[in-house]
Amino acid sequence: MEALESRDGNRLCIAVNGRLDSVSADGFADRLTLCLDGKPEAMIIDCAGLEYMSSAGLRSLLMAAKRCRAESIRLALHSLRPNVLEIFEMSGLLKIFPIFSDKAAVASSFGE
Amino acid sequence: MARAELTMRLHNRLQEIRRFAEAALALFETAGVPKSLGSRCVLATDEMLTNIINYAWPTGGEHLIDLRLVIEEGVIRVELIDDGHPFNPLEAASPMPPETLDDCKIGGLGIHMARQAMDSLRYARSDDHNRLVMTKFTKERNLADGSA
Repeated sequence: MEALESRDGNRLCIAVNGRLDSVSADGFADRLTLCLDGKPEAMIIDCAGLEYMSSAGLRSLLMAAKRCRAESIRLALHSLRPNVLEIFEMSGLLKIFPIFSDKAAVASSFGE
Repeated sequence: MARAELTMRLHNRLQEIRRFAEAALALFETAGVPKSLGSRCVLATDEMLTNIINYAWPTGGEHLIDLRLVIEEGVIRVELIDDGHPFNPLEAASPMPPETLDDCKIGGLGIHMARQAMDSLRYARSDDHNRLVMTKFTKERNLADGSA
């Protein structure tokens, strides 16, 4: 798993690639925590390169979502592959996450 | 789908799950198992292996898990056998899908997801071993329209 960060003003974009499973989830959660410590106004996670996710990976995203909520940081996930979207569906957590089809859909949700 | 079988002896290390996933996906491809079915079986097995590796041996140490994956006419079966602490995953409560982020609990998702991904889970404890058998039917459509 690799996570590439980029900034767009005070928005943080993170592109996740590879497998988010019980091997990589803790490292990813730590990474998200560090990112959120920087108090961005929004965290946008690009999942186009995310090949696989288990409940461990989902848990790291859930913890980040809770923190975003508590600290009024906007969160958006976009460009999920069908198999990853299916995992969100199976978990019953699909409606908990702000998921968008692509980057443009995120921008328009931000009123742009 | 051709009949195919994979047996593996995994160490109680999380990295071993990736070794299983690679081998299973290769077998599914060779046997002509549709991708969506194969990935559900891999997910369920990942979840149960993660549980076993993280919780079956509270005192740690090196342990082995025996895995058998069988693809047969109409069914995919995964069997996991470990000599860890007795644990029946079927007795673990399945979390209700939360309505809001605040309702959402951080733990307990893995077993729920394995149940969602597969058609049946069976557990037995015998000879001081946990024995879990997960089954996925591959002909749901035929069953649904009565032509099976």
